[in-house]
Amino acid sequence: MTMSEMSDALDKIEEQGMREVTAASTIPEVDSCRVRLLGKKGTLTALLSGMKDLTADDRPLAGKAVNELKAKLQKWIDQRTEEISLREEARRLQDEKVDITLPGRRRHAGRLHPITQTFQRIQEIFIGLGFRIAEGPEVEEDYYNFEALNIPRDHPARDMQDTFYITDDILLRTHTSPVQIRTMKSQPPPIRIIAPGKVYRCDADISHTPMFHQVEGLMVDRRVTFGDLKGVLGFFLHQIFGKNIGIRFRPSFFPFTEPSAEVDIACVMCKGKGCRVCKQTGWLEIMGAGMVDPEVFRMVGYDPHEVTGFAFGMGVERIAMLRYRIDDIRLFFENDLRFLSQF
Amino acid sequence: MLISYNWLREFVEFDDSPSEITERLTMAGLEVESMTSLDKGFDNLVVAQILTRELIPKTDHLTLCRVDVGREHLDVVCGAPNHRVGDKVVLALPGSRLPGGKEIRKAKIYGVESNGMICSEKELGISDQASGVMILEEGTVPGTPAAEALGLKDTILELNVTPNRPDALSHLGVAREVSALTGSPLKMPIHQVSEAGQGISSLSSVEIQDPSLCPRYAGRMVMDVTVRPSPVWMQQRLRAVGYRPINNVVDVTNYVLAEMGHPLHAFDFGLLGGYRIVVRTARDKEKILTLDGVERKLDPSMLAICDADKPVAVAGIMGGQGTQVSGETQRIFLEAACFDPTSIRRTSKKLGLHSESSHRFERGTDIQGMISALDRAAYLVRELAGGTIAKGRIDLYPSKRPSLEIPVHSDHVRSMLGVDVPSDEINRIFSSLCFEIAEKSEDKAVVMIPSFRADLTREIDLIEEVARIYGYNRIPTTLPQSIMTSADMTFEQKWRDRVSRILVGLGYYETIHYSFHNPKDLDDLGIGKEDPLRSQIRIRNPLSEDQSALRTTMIPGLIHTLQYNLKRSLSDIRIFEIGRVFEPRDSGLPLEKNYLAGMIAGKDRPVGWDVTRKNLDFFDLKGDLEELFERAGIRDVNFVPQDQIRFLHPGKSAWIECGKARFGFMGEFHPGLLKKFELQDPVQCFEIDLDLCLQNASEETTYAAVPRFPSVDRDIALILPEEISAAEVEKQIRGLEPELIREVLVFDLYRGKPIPAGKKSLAFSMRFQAEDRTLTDLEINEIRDRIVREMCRVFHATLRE
Repeated sequence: MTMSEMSDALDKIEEQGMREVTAASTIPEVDSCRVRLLGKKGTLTALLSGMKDLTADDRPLAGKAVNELKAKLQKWIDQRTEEISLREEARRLQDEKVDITLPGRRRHAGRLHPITQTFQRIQEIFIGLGFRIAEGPEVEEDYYNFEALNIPRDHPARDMQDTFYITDDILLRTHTSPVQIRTMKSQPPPIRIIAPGKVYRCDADISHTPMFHQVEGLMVDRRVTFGDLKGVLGFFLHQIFGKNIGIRFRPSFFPFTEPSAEVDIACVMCKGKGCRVCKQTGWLEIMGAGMVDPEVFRMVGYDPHEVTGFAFGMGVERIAMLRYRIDDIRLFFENDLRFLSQF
Repeated sequence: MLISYNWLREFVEFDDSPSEITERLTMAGLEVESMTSLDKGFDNLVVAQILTRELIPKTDHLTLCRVDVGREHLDVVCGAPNHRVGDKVVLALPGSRLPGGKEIRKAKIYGVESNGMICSEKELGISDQASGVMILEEGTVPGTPAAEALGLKDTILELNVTPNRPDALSHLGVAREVSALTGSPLKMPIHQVSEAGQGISSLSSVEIQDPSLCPRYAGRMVMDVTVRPSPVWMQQRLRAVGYRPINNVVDVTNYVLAEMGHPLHAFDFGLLGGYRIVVRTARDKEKILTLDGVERKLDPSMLAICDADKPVAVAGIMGGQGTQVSGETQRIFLEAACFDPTSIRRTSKKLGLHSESSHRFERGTDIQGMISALDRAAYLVRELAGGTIAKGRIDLYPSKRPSLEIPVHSDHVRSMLGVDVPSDEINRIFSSLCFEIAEKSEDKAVVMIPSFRADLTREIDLIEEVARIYGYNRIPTTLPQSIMTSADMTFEQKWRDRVSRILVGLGYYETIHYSFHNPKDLDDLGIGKEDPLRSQIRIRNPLSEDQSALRTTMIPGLIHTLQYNLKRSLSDIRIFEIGRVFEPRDSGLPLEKNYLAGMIAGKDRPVGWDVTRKNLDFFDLKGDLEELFERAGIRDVNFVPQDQIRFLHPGKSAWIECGKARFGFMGEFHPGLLKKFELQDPVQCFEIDLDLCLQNASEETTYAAVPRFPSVDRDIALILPEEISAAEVEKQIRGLEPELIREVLVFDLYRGKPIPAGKKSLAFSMRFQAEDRTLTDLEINEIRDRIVREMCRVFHATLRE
């Protein structure tokens, strides 16, 4: 074989390689192409056996030319392989496409009762202000529920709360205030507690349930003033109902506080304009509060000349109803999952 | 309590509109709950005078009346029999809408045009009188708006007076408050009487046998009265504030009550046995027929107003029918007295009889002011019923109450309110409330408490008065200056919260049920008569039998909720409750235990487009509980077969135990119970004593090193006799190589061919791992073989190949 024959052969192989690689459309086809051209029995390998016939001068030149062609073919094959696998992957992805608008496979979590969620919100705020959470019995002695709170038997103030009795002296607590008495009896001041819990009154109609929930609070220390009461409760209400909610304090009466106050917020339904919910007044009663009556301090053995304090209480249902715009208190105790799942 | 805006203005001048005065009173502690205009529905109602009236032909009672309405004359058809020519009546013109809602239009009746309707009292919403049209007083001018002529140009305020303020239970009392708030002087109603004839002491006498129950008793007599209906203005006023007009004498007592706040009573003097009054406690089984027509049985704890022989009134609560004032009455004895509040309250409760009078006496009345009320009543009786007021009054007041003097220190006001109210302003506030100041200096004022404010007994009471009139909203808002104290929740509180949150994460909805239920609910659960759950605390005055027993278990409430939701087509249910149950103790308060209970029913997952759903069963609940316990820090919980709880399936239920403590149960409801409750699908439930459970909770998590050497898994399937439990086998396997076996999991349970009857195949997956080296296949295979040999020996198992 002469050098020129060699050149012709290389040109032919190059031309054949170009044609075959381009024609291959699958990975196996490219593979067989590679075997045919570059394999042990491939055309290019076969050509190498003709090298021995060349002159010593031509041999390196021919070797170089063969190697160049080999590299070129290898490059074409690699490019073709890459092209085909990209195309195949694209096709596979196309085939795997799903309707992503189909709903996901959910694992439903449950919900905490809206009363519990409201409790937690109230607790967070007061814990932030340094209040502890105190608990006490739901079945309570008359003494703690009434007497120690300056509500003697035969006092008209007893009419303010319809009571479930177990015996003459034992009853279902009508408020969580007895927890305040129990706390003060068990520790010296200073005190900062809130007492969340269930309370009971024998009253049932569209706006009353015989059991409901309260959070009461108590702060006792040296130099606690009515201004502080306003400050703490104002802070609390702004946290719960938003910074811009209107708040007013007006005189009221509770046997265990003096001065006593009702705390109103601007009606959240009508923004204070007057509606059915606020009975056209523009205001909603939200809490009762007051400075602890010196009589109560005397009953628990505190010196009213040494300490002052304030107490407050609120209905959790009422707050939950206003937060979530719920219009019927009975919903809280029907436990309808269509209701509970909304919170 | 109802207050008439016009009436109020008789005692104090002010310019505030009804809504303005409402706001001021509310902000001073006399909360106005509602405002009602009395002339609602009186648009287009005018006074008309009847000029002519003729019977319409072919009718037996309809008349055609020509009436004068001031600016014109109109024809009106009327069916009433009682009007005469010249009478003044109320005419509803076309376009008006009566207080009852009835609309008036022009109409043709028997071919005659009628331009409105002449109204009865009932149609005007004034009374129930419907037998004829309302005839107005003679002096009324035709054309006047009817509301004006009837005194209905008024607004009624409904006040919610707190129990400490009996002084505000009258127009005068509220006027006093208005006077303090506006600075206008208070005007007292006329109570100067002109007496004539005999002195009262020669006519009658009064004896108080128990002055502690009746500290003061006063009386006046009016002779030769004419008892008849009161004039319209008085009837209208009384109706407007909630009293039913009766006759001029009784109406006067109610009028003065509404006006001055002191309850009075009028006796027909001629009917008083012995013409005298004895104030004494009732004798046992003594009876009286009270004015409401009910015979009341009295007892010696009750104070009675008696004549020489018998009770004629239940003191401070209600008079008797025997001596009531009627058309025949000629001489009346007027009573004004003061009674012990506690005694009145007890008697009122015992008799189940609450009246305007008892309402005030049990809150405390003005022991001085009662005299002017008595005089005012005598004055009004004479004005309305004629006659003469006998000379003098009887007034028994055995031990005079000294007036109280209380010092108020400016610095106490400051330290309580947190604001510096100048002493001038403090004094001004006291004076505005009609409190006299006995002594004043820069730092203190000594206040003389008037008799109408018996609620003021301490300095703090007066500080409240200062705050009230000064205005709560003027007191600056501050935050307490206080020593910092820890405010964290207790471990127990946090733990209970955590339990709820874990359950919520597992798909459970929290529910809240009443703490009381029907004791029969336990029958439905088949709870035995001797079961401790039966010792329930009963409420003495429940609202209904359904709410009469404090719960000892929370299961009934949850069943109720389950049924409630199933009935509303909600089928997949996971619910729980955390609350208290109540266990009686020999003495004192019951034991209150924190319980957790839950229930699941329906399918294990929501419907989906490629989801296979199955019924929730025992192991779904058990899995949830295992997860709960692990995450709540309760380790080594055991589920132990049980057959004592009758409402559970004996083969699919368990006690829940930890160490020696049995703190709960779980399981599937007994099929019999499902039937009873009409439930289709199985229901799983559990109940746990959280307090007991908590004792086993560990507060801390201690980290265990993450293994450094690889683990190797091996599976074995054993054919075992039915009675061998999975837990036994697992325990045995673990015991063989406690150091190297990290996990034993049951991954298959199979019964049926080719497994012989009475046997089952259980497959376990075991994970081996050493802390200090990589285990070799040889080692592991040796252990596995040993496990198989041991299981075959101990449990008569065979290896399933």
